[in-house]
Amino acid sequence: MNQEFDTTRERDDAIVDLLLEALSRLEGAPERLLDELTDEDERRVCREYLETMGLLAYDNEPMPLAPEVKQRLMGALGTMPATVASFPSTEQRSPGVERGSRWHDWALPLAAGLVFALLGLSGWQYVQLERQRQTIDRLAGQLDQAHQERTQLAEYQGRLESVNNRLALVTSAGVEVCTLKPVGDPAPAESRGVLFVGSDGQNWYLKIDGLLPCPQGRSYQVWFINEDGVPVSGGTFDPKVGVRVELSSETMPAGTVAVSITLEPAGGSSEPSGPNVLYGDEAMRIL
Amino acid sequence: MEPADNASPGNDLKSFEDKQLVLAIREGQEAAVSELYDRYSNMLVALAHRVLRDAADSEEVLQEVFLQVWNQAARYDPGRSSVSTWLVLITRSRSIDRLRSRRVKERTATAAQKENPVTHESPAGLKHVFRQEQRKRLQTELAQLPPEQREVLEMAFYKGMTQSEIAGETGIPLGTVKTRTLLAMKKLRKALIDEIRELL
Repeated sequence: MNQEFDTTRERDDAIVDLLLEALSRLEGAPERLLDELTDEDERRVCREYLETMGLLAYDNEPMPLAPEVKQRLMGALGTMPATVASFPSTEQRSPGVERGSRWHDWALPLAAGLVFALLGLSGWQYVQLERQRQTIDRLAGQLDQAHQERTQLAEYQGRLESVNNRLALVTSAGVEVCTLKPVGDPAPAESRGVLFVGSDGQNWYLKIDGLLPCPQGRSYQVWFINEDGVPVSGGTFDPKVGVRVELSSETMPAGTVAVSITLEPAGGSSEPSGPNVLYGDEAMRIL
Repeated sequence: MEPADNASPGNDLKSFEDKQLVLAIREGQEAAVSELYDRYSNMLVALAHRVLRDAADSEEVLQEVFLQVWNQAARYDPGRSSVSTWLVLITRSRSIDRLRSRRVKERTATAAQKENPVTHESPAGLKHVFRQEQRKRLQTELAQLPPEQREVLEMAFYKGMTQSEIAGETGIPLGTVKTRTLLAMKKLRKALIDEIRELL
Protein backbone atom coordinates (compact mmCIF):
# COMPACT_ATOMS: atom_id res chain seq x y z
CA MET A 1 0.00 0.00 0.00
CA ASN A 2 2.89 2.37 0.77
CA GLN A 3 4.21 1.82 -2.70
CA GLU A 4 0.83 2.77 -4.11
CA PHE A 5 0.81 5.98 -2.10
CA ASP A 6 4.31 6.87 -3.21
CA THR A 7 3.61 6.44 -6.88
CA THR A 8 0.32 8.31 -6.77
CA ARG A 9 1.28 10.97 -4.28
CA GLU A 10 0.62 13.95 -6.48
CA ARG A 11 -2.80 12.68 -7.50
CA ASP A 12 -3.72 12.02 -3.87
CA ASP A 13 -2.47 15.44 -2.83
CA ALA A 14 -4.64 17.13 -5.41
CA ILE A 15 -7.71 15.04 -4.57
CA VAL A 16 -7.43 15.60 -0.83
CA ASP A 17 -6.92 19.31 -1.43
CA LEU A 18 -10.02 19.52 -3.63
CA LEU A 19 -12.05 17.40 -1.24
CA LEU A 20 -11.19 19.54 1.77
CA GLU A 21 -12.05 22.64 -0.20
CA ALA A 22 -15.37 21.06 -1.17
CA LEU A 23 -16.06 20.05 2.43
CA SER A 24 -15.56 23.64 3.58
CA ARG A 25 -18.28 24.71 1.13
CA LEU A 26 -20.65 22.36 2.91
CA GLU A 27 -23.72 20.59 1.63
CA GLY A 28 -23.51 18.84 -1.71
CA ALA A 29 -20.09 20.14 -2.71
CA PRO A 30 -18.11 16.91 -2.06
CA GLU A 31 -20.61 14.93 -4.11
CA ARG A 32 -20.41 17.48 -6.93
CA LEU A 33 -16.64 17.14 -6.87
CA LEU A 34 -17.04 13.41 -7.47
CA ASP A 35 -19.30 14.13 -10.43
CA GLU A 36 -16.61 16.31 -11.95
CA LEU A 37 -13.99 13.57 -11.83
CA THR A 38 -14.14 11.65 -15.09
CA ASP A 39 -11.14 9.39 -14.52
CA GLU A 40 -12.36 6.18 -12.88
CA ASP A 41 -9.26 5.81 -10.75
CA GLU A 42 -9.40 9.39 -9.50
CA ARG A 43 -13.06 8.94 -8.73
CA ARG A 44 -12.37 5.79 -6.71
CA VAL A 45 -9.61 7.48 -4.71
CA CYS A 46 -11.82 10.50 -4.08
CA ARG A 47 -14.63 8.19 -2.94
CA GLU A 48 -12.24 6.45 -0.57
CA TYR A 49 -11.14 9.74 0.95
CA LEU A 50 -14.76 10.87 1.21
CA GLU A 51 -15.65 7.66 3.04
CA THR A 52 -12.61 8.22 5.26
CA MET A 53 -14.10 11.58 6.23
CA GLY A 54 -17.45 9.91 6.76
CA LEU A 55 -15.89 7.45 9.19
CA LEU A 56 -14.48 10.28 11.28
CA ALA A 57 -17.94 10.75 12.77
CA TYR A 58 -17.59 7.39 14.50
CA ASP A 59 -14.86 8.83 16.66
CA ASN A 60 -17.59 10.23 18.91
CA GLU A 61 -19.22 8.12 21.57
CA PRO A 62 -22.80 7.41 20.40
CA MET A 63 -25.25 9.59 22.29
CA PRO A 64 -28.39 8.11 23.74
CA LEU A 65 -31.64 9.76 22.66
CA ALA A 66 -34.96 10.02 24.42
CA PRO A 67 -37.75 8.06 22.69
CA GLU A 68 -39.71 11.33 22.30
CA VAL A 69 -37.15 12.56 19.78
CA LYS A 70 -38.02 9.70 17.45
CA GLN A 71 -41.72 10.09 18.17
CA ARG A 72 -41.54 13.75 17.16
CA LEU A 73 -39.77 12.81 13.94
CA MET A 74 -42.20 10.09 13.01
CA GLY A 75 -45.06 12.43 13.88
CA ALA A 76 -43.64 15.06 11.58
CA LEU A 77 -43.37 12.55 8.74
CA GLY A 78 -46.93 11.37 8.75
CA THR A 79 -49.14 13.40 11.04
CA MET A 80 -51.39 14.86 8.38
CA PRO A 81 -52.28 11.73 6.38
CA ALA A 82 -52.64 9.66 9.53
CA THR A 83 -54.94 12.24 11.08
CA VAL A 84 -57.15 12.41 8.01
CA ALA A 85 -57.31 8.63 7.83
CA SER A 86 -58.33 8.40 11.45
CA PHE A 87 -61.60 10.26 10.83
CA PRO A 88 -64.51 7.85 11.30
CA SER A 89 -66.57 7.57 8.12
CA THR A 90 -70.30 6.85 7.91
CA GLU A 91 -69.58 3.45 6.35
CA GLN A 92 -67.56 2.46 9.39
CA ARG A 93 -70.40 3.01 11.80
CA SER A 94 -71.70 0.06 13.75
CA PRO A 95 -74.68 -1.65 12.10
CA GLY A 96 -76.57 -1.18 15.33
CA VAL A 97 -76.53 2.60 15.06
CA GLU A 98 -79.90 3.74 13.67
CA ARG A 99 -81.05 7.14 12.37
CA GLY A 100 -83.22 7.89 15.35
CA SER A 101 -80.64 7.00 18.05
CA ARG A 102 -79.87 9.37 20.88
CA TRP A 103 -77.62 12.32 19.98
CA HIS A 104 -74.80 11.42 22.40
CA ASP A 105 -74.42 8.03 20.79
CA TRP A 106 -72.79 9.71 17.82
CA ALA A 107 -71.97 13.21 19.11
CA LEU A 108 -69.42 12.07 21.67
CA PRO A 109 -67.35 9.94 19.29
CA LEU A 110 -67.58 12.74 16.73
CA ALA A 111 -66.41 15.33 19.29
CA ALA A 112 -63.60 13.03 20.36
CA GLY A 113 -62.64 12.53 16.73
CA LEU A 114 -62.66 16.28 16.13
CA VAL A 115 -60.53 16.92 19.21
CA PHE A 116 -58.16 14.22 18.08
CA ALA A 117 -57.96 15.69 14.61
CA LEU A 118 -57.43 19.20 15.97
CA LEU A 119 -54.65 17.97 18.22
CA GLY A 120 -53.03 16.22 15.29
CA LEU A 121 -53.41 19.30 13.11
CA SER A 122 -51.97 21.53 15.83
CA GLY A 123 -49.04 19.18 16.24
CA TRP A 124 -48.42 19.15 12.52
CA GLN A 125 -48.65 22.95 12.33
CA TYR A 126 -46.28 23.26 15.28
CA VAL A 127 -43.73 21.04 13.57
CA GLN A 128 -44.13 22.99 10.31
CA LEU A 129 -43.69 26.28 12.16
CA GLU A 130 -40.61 24.97 13.92
CA ARG A 131 -39.12 23.91 10.61
CA GLN A 132 -39.89 27.28 9.08
CA ARG A 133 -38.38 29.04 12.07
CA GLN A 134 -35.20 26.95 11.75
CA THR A 135 -35.04 27.67 8.05
CA ILE A 136 -35.52 31.39 8.67
CA ASP A 137 -32.80 31.33 11.35
CA ARG A 138 -30.43 29.54 9.03
CA LEU A 139 -31.15 31.86 6.13
CA ALA A 140 -30.85 34.91 8.39
CA GLY A 141 -27.46 33.65 9.50
CA GLN A 142 -26.34 33.12 5.93
CA LEU A 143 -27.68 36.54 4.97
CA ASP A 144 -25.80 38.21 7.81
CA GLN A 145 -22.65 36.40 6.81
CA ALA A 146 -23.08 37.39 3.18
CA HIS A 147 -23.69 40.99 4.23
CA GLN A 148 -20.55 41.00 6.35
CA GLU A 149 -18.55 39.51 3.52
CA ARG A 150 -19.94 42.08 1.09
CA THR A 151 -19.10 44.92 3.47
CA GLN A 152 -15.61 43.53 3.91
CA LEU A 153 -15.22 43.16 0.16
CA ALA A 154 -16.33 46.77 -0.39
CA GLU A 155 -13.80 47.85 2.22
CA TYR A 156 -11.04 45.88 0.50
CA GLN A 157 -12.04 47.33 -2.86
CA GLY A 158 -11.95 50.83 -1.39
CA ARG A 159 -8.51 50.21 0.05
CA LEU A 160 -7.30 48.71 -3.19
CA GLU A 161 -8.60 51.67 -5.16
CA SER A 162 -6.91 54.06 -2.76
CA VAL A 163 -3.62 52.16 -3.06
CA ASN A 164 -3.95 52.14 -6.85
CA ASN A 165 -4.58 55.89 -6.91
CA ARG A 166 -1.54 56.52 -4.78
CA LEU A 167 0.54 54.18 -6.84
CA ALA A 168 -0.58 55.95 -10.01
CA LEU A 169 0.31 59.27 -8.44
CA VAL A 170 3.78 58.38 -7.20
CA THR A 171 4.71 56.63 -10.43
CA SER A 172 3.25 59.22 -12.82
CA ALA A 173 5.50 61.22 -15.11
CA GLY A 174 6.25 64.70 -13.77
CA VAL A 175 5.46 63.89 -10.13
CA GLU A 176 7.19 66.22 -7.64
CA VAL A 177 8.65 64.79 -4.46
CA CYS A 178 9.38 66.81 -1.35
CA THR A 179 11.05 65.31 1.71
CA LEU A 180 10.00 66.55 5.16
CA LYS A 181 12.67 66.41 7.85
CA PRO A 182 12.49 66.81 11.64
CA VAL A 183 12.99 70.35 12.85
CA GLY A 184 11.92 70.43 16.47
CA ASP A 185 12.03 68.67 19.81
CA PRO A 186 8.73 66.72 19.53
CA ALA A 187 10.02 64.92 16.42
CA PRO A 188 12.37 61.97 16.77
CA ALA A 189 15.49 62.26 14.62
CA GLU A 190 14.43 59.27 12.52
CA SER A 191 10.98 60.69 11.68
CA ARG A 192 10.43 61.48 8.02
CA GLY A 193 7.72 62.61 5.63
CA VAL A 194 7.53 62.42 1.86
CA LEU A 195 5.06 64.51 -0.15
CA PHE A 196 4.20 63.49 -3.70
CA VAL A 197 2.44 66.09 -5.88
CA GLY A 198 0.99 65.06 -9.24
CA SER A 199 1.91 66.79 -12.47
CA ASP A 200 -1.42 68.66 -12.31
CA GLY A 201 -0.17 70.38 -9.13
CA GLN A 202 -3.39 69.32 -7.37
CA ASN A 203 -3.32 65.66 -6.43
CA TRP A 204 -1.05 65.00 -3.50
CA TYR A 205 -0.11 62.13 -1.22
CA LEU A 206 1.84 62.52 2.01
CA LYS A 207 3.34 59.64 3.97
CA ILE A 208 4.84 60.15 7.40
CA ASP A 209 6.86 57.67 9.47
CA GLY A 210 8.37 57.70 12.93
CA LEU A 211 6.40 60.45 14.67
CA LEU A 212 5.56 59.95 18.33
CA PRO A 213 1.86 59.74 19.30
CA CYS A 214 0.36 63.14 20.15
CA PRO A 215 0.40 64.26 23.76
CA GLN A 216 -3.01 64.39 25.46
CA GLY A 217 -5.21 67.11 23.94
CA ARG A 218 -2.97 67.75 20.96
CA SER A 219 -2.96 66.88 17.23
CA TYR A 220 -0.44 67.12 14.45
CA GLN A 221 -1.51 69.50 11.68
CA VAL A 222 -0.28 69.73 8.07
CA TRP A 223 0.26 73.19 6.55
CA PHE A 224 0.85 74.13 2.91
CA ILE A 225 2.76 77.42 2.77
CA ASN A 226 2.65 79.68 -0.30
CA GLU A 227 5.23 82.10 -1.72
CA ASP A 228 3.99 84.87 0.62
CA GLY A 229 4.44 82.65 3.67
CA VAL A 230 0.68 82.19 4.19
CA PRO A 231 -0.17 78.72 5.63
CA VAL A 232 -3.28 76.75 4.60
CA SER A 233 -4.31 73.74 6.67
CA GLY A 234 -4.06 70.33 5.02
CA GLY A 235 -5.69 68.45 7.91
CA THR A 236 -4.84 66.95 11.29
CA PHE A 237 -3.79 63.48 12.37
CA ASP A 238 -2.80 61.48 15.45
CA PRO A 239 -0.23 58.76 14.68
CA LYS A 240 0.06 55.41 16.41
CA VAL A 241 3.41 53.87 17.28
CA GLY A 242 4.90 51.99 14.34
CA VAL A 243 2.01 52.81 11.98
CA ARG A 244 2.63 54.91 8.88
CA VAL A 245 0.42 57.99 8.46
CA GLU A 246 -0.91 58.42 4.92
CA LEU A 247 -2.84 61.52 3.83
CA SER A 248 -4.04 62.48 0.37
CA SER A 249 -6.34 64.88 -1.44
CA GLU A 250 -7.27 65.95 -4.95
CA THR A 251 -6.66 69.65 -4.29
CA MET A 252 -3.67 71.67 -3.15
CA PRO A 253 -3.54 75.40 -2.42
CA ALA A 254 -2.14 77.41 -5.34
CA GLY A 255 1.48 78.58 -5.11
CA THR A 256 2.55 76.09 -2.43
CA VAL A 257 6.32 76.19 -1.93
CA ALA A 258 6.74 74.46 1.43
CA VAL A 259 5.06 71.96 3.73
CA SER A 260 5.13 72.03 7.48
CA ILE A 261 3.75 69.84 10.27
CA THR A 262 3.14 71.43 13.65
CA LEU A 263 1.80 70.22 16.98
CA GLU A 264 -1.52 72.00 17.68
CA PRO A 265 -4.43 71.76 20.12
CA ALA A 266 -6.65 68.72 19.40
CA GLY A 267 -8.81 69.34 16.35
CA GLY A 268 -6.37 71.78 14.77
CA SER A 269 -5.84 75.56 14.64
CA SER A 270 -6.69 78.22 12.07
CA GLU A 271 -3.00 79.04 11.80
CA PRO A 272 0.20 77.43 13.11
CA SER A 273 0.60 78.06 16.83
CA GLY A 274 2.58 75.10 18.10
CA PRO A 275 6.14 73.92 17.55
CA ASN A 276 7.28 72.86 14.08
CA VAL A 277 7.84 69.11 13.89
CA LEU A 278 8.60 68.32 10.23
CA TYR A 279 9.36 70.73 7.43
CA GLY A 280 10.22 70.51 3.71
CA ASP A 281 10.61 73.07 0.96
CA GLU A 282 12.82 71.41 -1.60
CA ALA A 283 10.75 69.75 -4.26
CA MET A 284 12.31 67.52 -6.85
CA ARG A 285 10.56 66.74 -10.12
CA ILE A 286 10.64 63.09 -11.18
CA LEU A 287 10.41 62.46 -14.92
CA MET B 1 -29.11 0.50 -6.17
CA GLU B 2 -30.81 -2.83 -5.61
CA PRO B 3 -34.57 -2.88 -6.03
CA ALA B 4 -36.67 -2.84 -2.88
CA ASP B 5 -39.29 -5.22 -4.24
CA ASN B 6 -39.59 -6.91 -0.90
CA ALA B 7 -39.85 -3.60 0.94
CA SER B 8 -43.52 -4.11 1.74
CA PRO B 9 -44.66 -3.14 5.22
CA GLY B 10 -44.98 -6.78 6.16
CA ASN B 11 -41.30 -7.54 5.61
CA ASP B 12 -38.64 -7.10 8.22
CA LEU B 13 -36.78 -3.93 7.39
CA LYS B 14 -34.08 -4.84 9.87
CA SER B 15 -32.63 -7.23 7.33
CA PHE B 16 -32.46 -4.51 4.67
CA GLU B 17 -29.19 -2.98 3.61
CA ASP B 18 -28.92 0.77 4.05
CA LYS B 19 -29.32 1.39 0.33
CA GLN B 20 -32.50 -0.69 0.24
CA LEU B 21 -33.84 1.32 3.13
CA VAL B 22 -33.26 4.57 1.22
CA LEU B 23 -35.07 3.10 -1.75
CA ALA B 24 -37.97 2.15 0.51
CA ILE B 25 -38.00 5.71 1.89
CA ARG B 26 -38.08 6.98 -1.66
CA GLU B 27 -41.20 4.89 -2.12
CA GLY B 28 -42.79 6.55 0.90
CA GLN B 29 -42.31 3.90 3.60
CA GLU B 30 -42.13 5.66 6.95
CA ALA B 31 -41.04 2.42 8.62
CA ALA B 32 -37.83 2.58 6.60
CA VAL B 33 -37.07 6.02 8.10
CA SER B 34 -37.68 4.51 11.50
CA GLU B 35 -35.21 1.72 10.79
CA LEU B 36 -32.58 4.07 9.40
CA TYR B 37 -33.06 6.27 12.46
CA ASP B 38 -32.49 3.30 14.75
CA ARG B 39 -29.26 2.50 12.95
CA TYR B 40 -27.72 5.94 12.79
CA SER B 41 -29.37 8.45 15.13
CA ASN B 42 -27.04 7.89 18.10
CA MET B 43 -23.97 8.34 15.97
CA LEU B 44 -25.36 11.34 14.09
CA VAL B 45 -26.55 13.18 17.17
CA ALA B 46 -23.12 12.65 18.72
CA LEU B 47 -21.57 14.23 15.62
CA ALA B 48 -23.98 17.18 15.81
CA HIS B 49 -23.20 17.54 19.50
CA ARG B 50 -19.47 17.53 18.83
CA VAL B 51 -19.99 20.51 16.52
CA LEU B 52 -22.65 22.37 18.47
CA ARG B 53 -21.98 21.42 22.11
CA ASP B 54 -25.66 21.76 22.80
CA ALA B 55 -28.02 18.83 23.34
CA ALA B 56 -31.23 20.57 22.25
CA ASP B 57 -29.66 22.01 19.11
CA SER B 58 -28.18 18.61 18.25
CA GLU B 59 -31.57 16.92 18.52
CA GLU B 60 -33.10 19.59 16.28
CA VAL B 61 -30.36 19.01 13.71
CA LEU B 62 -31.06 15.27 13.86
CA GLN B 63 -34.74 15.98 13.22
CA GLU B 64 -33.85 18.16 10.23
CA VAL B 65 -31.53 15.50 8.84
CA PHE B 66 -34.13 12.76 8.84
CA LEU B 67 -36.80 15.10 7.47
CA GLN B 68 -34.37 15.90 4.66
CA VAL B 69 -33.79 12.19 4.10
CA TRP B 70 -37.56 11.68 3.94
CA ASN B 71 -38.06 14.55 1.50
CA GLN B 72 -34.96 14.09 -0.61
CA ALA B 73 -34.25 10.37 -0.62
CA ALA B 74 -34.46 10.50 -4.41
CA ARG B 75 -31.35 12.65 -4.43
CA TYR B 76 -29.23 9.96 -2.82
CA ASP B 77 -26.80 8.46 -5.31
CA PRO B 78 -25.03 5.27 -4.17
CA GLY B 79 -22.33 5.98 -6.74
CA ARG B 80 -21.26 9.03 -4.78
CA SER B 81 -21.18 7.80 -1.21
CA SER B 82 -22.39 5.18 1.19
CA VAL B 83 -25.62 5.94 3.05
CA SER B 84 -23.60 6.31 6.21
CA THR B 85 -21.34 8.96 4.71
CA TRP B 86 -24.31 10.68 3.05
CA LEU B 87 -25.98 10.99 6.45
CA VAL B 88 -22.75 12.12 8.11
CA LEU B 89 -22.21 14.84 5.51
CA ILE B 90 -25.78 16.13 5.82
CA THR B 91 -25.53 16.17 9.61
CA ARG B 92 -22.15 17.84 9.52
CA SER B 93 -23.21 20.61 7.16
CA ARG B 94 -26.47 21.27 8.99
CA SER B 95 -24.61 21.43 12.30
CA ILE B 96 -21.98 23.80 10.94
CA ASP B 97 -24.71 25.94 9.34
CA ARG B 98 -26.43 26.19 12.68
CA LEU B 99 -23.15 26.91 14.46
CA ARG B 100 -22.41 29.75 12.06
CA SER B 101 -25.93 31.09 12.40
CA ARG B 102 -25.53 30.95 16.17
CA ARG B 103 -22.23 32.78 16.01
CA VAL B 104 -23.76 35.50 13.86
CA LYS B 105 -26.45 35.99 16.45
CA GLU B 106 -23.75 35.99 19.15
CA ARG B 107 -25.58 33.33 21.05
CA THR B 108 -23.28 31.49 23.38
CA ALA B 109 -23.45 27.77 23.74
CA THR B 110 -23.86 26.74 27.33
CA ALA B 111 -21.47 24.20 28.64
CA ALA B 112 -24.15 23.10 31.05
CA GLN B 113 -25.94 21.29 28.23
CA LYS B 114 -23.11 18.86 27.72
CA GLU B 115 -24.65 16.30 30.02
CA ASN B 116 -26.93 13.54 28.78
CA PRO B 117 -30.33 13.39 30.45
CA VAL B 118 -30.59 10.32 32.64
CA THR B 119 -33.95 9.42 31.13
CA HIS B 120 -32.31 8.54 27.82
CA GLU B 121 -32.13 4.97 26.70
CA SER B 122 -29.04 3.15 25.60
CA PRO B 123 -28.31 3.19 21.88
CA ALA B 124 -30.08 0.58 19.83
CA GLY B 125 -29.25 -0.87 16.47
CA LEU B 126 -25.77 0.57 16.38
CA LYS B 127 -24.21 -2.77 15.57
CA HIS B 128 -25.94 -2.66 12.21
CA VAL B 129 -23.81 0.24 11.25
CA PHE B 130 -20.30 0.05 12.50
CA ARG B 131 -19.17 -2.72 14.72
CA GLN B 132 -17.91 -1.67 18.09
CA GLU B 133 -14.44 -3.10 17.51
CA GLN B 134 -14.18 -1.21 14.23
CA ARG B 135 -15.13 2.01 15.96
CA LYS B 136 -12.48 1.33 18.57
CA ARG B 137 -9.99 0.76 15.78
CA LEU B 138 -10.88 4.09 14.23
CA GLN B 139 -10.40 5.75 17.60
CA THR B 140 -7.06 3.99 17.98
CA GLU B 141 -5.95 5.15 14.54
CA LEU B 142 -7.03 8.69 15.29
CA ALA B 143 -5.24 8.56 18.62
CA GLN B 144 -2.08 7.48 16.84
CA LEU B 145 -2.08 10.55 14.63
CA PRO B 146 0.33 13.23 15.80
CA PRO B 147 -1.70 15.86 17.70
CA GLU B 148 -0.87 18.56 15.15
CA GLN B 149 -2.24 16.39 12.30
CA ARG B 150 -5.36 15.50 14.23
CA GLU B 151 -5.93 19.14 15.14
CA VAL B 152 -6.04 20.37 11.52
CA LEU B 153 -8.18 17.43 10.43
CA GLU B 154 -10.72 18.09 13.17
CA MET B 155 -10.80 21.80 12.42
CA ALA B 156 -11.61 21.01 8.80
CA PHE B 157 -14.20 18.35 9.64
CA TYR B 158 -15.98 19.71 12.69
CA LYS B 159 -15.68 23.43 12.04
CA GLY B 160 -15.93 23.40 8.24
CA MET B 161 -12.83 25.55 7.98
CA THR B 162 -10.79 25.87 4.80
CA GLN B 163 -7.09 25.17 5.03
CA SER B 164 -6.41 28.91 4.67
CA GLU B 165 -8.76 29.63 7.57
CA ILE B 166 -7.01 27.00 9.67
CA ALA B 167 -3.66 28.60 8.84
CA GLY B 168 -5.07 32.00 9.83
CA GLU B 169 -6.50 30.77 13.12
CA THR B 170 -3.54 28.68 14.21
CA GLY B 171 -0.78 30.90 12.82
CA ILE B 172 0.69 27.85 11.04
CA PRO B 173 1.89 28.40 7.45
CA LEU B 174 -0.66 27.26 4.84
CA GLY B 175 1.77 24.76 3.32
CA THR B 176 2.27 23.12 6.71
CA VAL B 177 -1.48 22.91 7.28
CA LYS B 178 -1.91 21.22 3.91
CA THR B 179 0.88 18.76 4.58
CA ARG B 180 -0.51 17.83 7.98
CA THR B 181 -4.04 17.34 6.68
CA LEU B 182 -2.82 15.29 3.80
CA LEU B 183 -0.69 13.04 5.97
CA ALA B 184 -3.56 12.49 8.38
CA MET B 185 -5.98 11.63 5.58
CA LYS B 186 -3.53 9.24 3.95
CA LYS B 187 -2.83 7.41 7.21
CA LEU B 188 -6.51 7.01 7.97
CA ARG B 189 -7.39 5.89 4.47
CA LYS B 190 -4.63 3.31 4.58
CA ALA B 191 -5.57 2.07 8.05
CA LEU B 192 -9.29 1.87 7.33
CA ILE B 193 -9.18 0.70 3.73
CA ASP B 194 -11.04 -2.54 4.51
CA GLU B 195 -13.90 -0.72 6.19
CA ILE B 196 -13.97 1.85 3.40
CA ARG B 197 -14.16 -0.76 0.66
CA GLU B 198 -17.02 -2.44 2.48
CA LEU B 199 -18.90 0.81 2.19
CA LEU B 200 -18.23 1.30 -1.52
